[in-house]
Amino acid sequence: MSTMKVFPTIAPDAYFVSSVPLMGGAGSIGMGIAIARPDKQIWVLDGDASLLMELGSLVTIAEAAPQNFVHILFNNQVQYGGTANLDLPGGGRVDFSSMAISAGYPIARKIKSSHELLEFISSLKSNKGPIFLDVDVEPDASYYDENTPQKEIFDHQLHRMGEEARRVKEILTNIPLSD
Amino acid sequence: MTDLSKFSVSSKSILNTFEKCNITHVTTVPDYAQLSLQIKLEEGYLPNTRVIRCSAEDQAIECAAGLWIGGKKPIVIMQNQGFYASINSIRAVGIDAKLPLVLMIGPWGREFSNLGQSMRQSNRKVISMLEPMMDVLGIRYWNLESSKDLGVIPEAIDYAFSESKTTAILVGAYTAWN
Repeated sequence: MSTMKVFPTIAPDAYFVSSVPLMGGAGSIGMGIAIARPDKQIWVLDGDASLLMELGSLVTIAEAAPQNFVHILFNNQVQYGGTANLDLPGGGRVDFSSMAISAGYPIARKIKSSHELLEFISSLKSNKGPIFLDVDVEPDASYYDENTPQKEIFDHQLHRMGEEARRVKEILTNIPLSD
Repeated sequence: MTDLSKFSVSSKSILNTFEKCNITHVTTVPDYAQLSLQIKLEEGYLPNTRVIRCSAEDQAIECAAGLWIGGKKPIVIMQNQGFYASINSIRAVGIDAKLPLVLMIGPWGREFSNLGQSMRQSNRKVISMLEPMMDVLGIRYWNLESSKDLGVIPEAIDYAFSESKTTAILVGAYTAWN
């Protein structure tokens, strides 16, 4: 949830597709793009609550084995992070990187500091995926409470994935597949 | 005793149709009714079509969407139970985001006595609620009830990719092993 809100602001990028409203779908959508475009490195920014919804996708991705696929899990151990911060089942106990290795990812790491993260990212080009990073993060402060109730969900939240997907497809169509 | 041969469609004919439609990928979770077709796919009957085995139908839907974003032309094969299980992914990817999806759905659990009749008249909910569910979701569907219906496959594929819609091909009986 936090990633979804923050990433387009700190790193606006035309190559961005949001898996919303579809928790759990990012990994498999990214896998499809990675298989279709092996000449591009595809990064999936996932959340722990989202991945739990489609835990089997780890096996599906490992089976398909796209070498250009990097799966980054932001592990904040809550659901509705930054909005309500509800406790996540298994929060803090689930070892996602071991799960990824068991599923068949050739590389999986637990990342506990920004230094470790930067160091690993700088080495990505020399490694073949699928690669899994389980990054410990603090949840943002909860936004909603009795004085600030939830807002209406606007239409854009339902349509943005389609708009972004068509934009990325158009960009990729204009970039010939390279070796 | 029901003569299944009147209703079973040749799996090779279906796969040949995929090839003519330039299908590049099949994303799938196994379907009891389409086993003959899926085994042929795994054996490499279509050497230029990659099969992506998924652990749940949600992933088959989402991966198909990703493949389309990357410029490919996928089809999703699943059984009716998988369709029911993956409705939220279909809603998100196909209906709200309006990305093209072609679902080829097998009739797990269809009683042989219902063959030749509308699935809506089946005594089994897993069969009878499939078409009404399509209506609720606004998914255009075609019935593949015998070899005479093979033409519905390119029709469903063309409509999905030209109109950016979700379409479904409802397989009526077990696909034949020839």
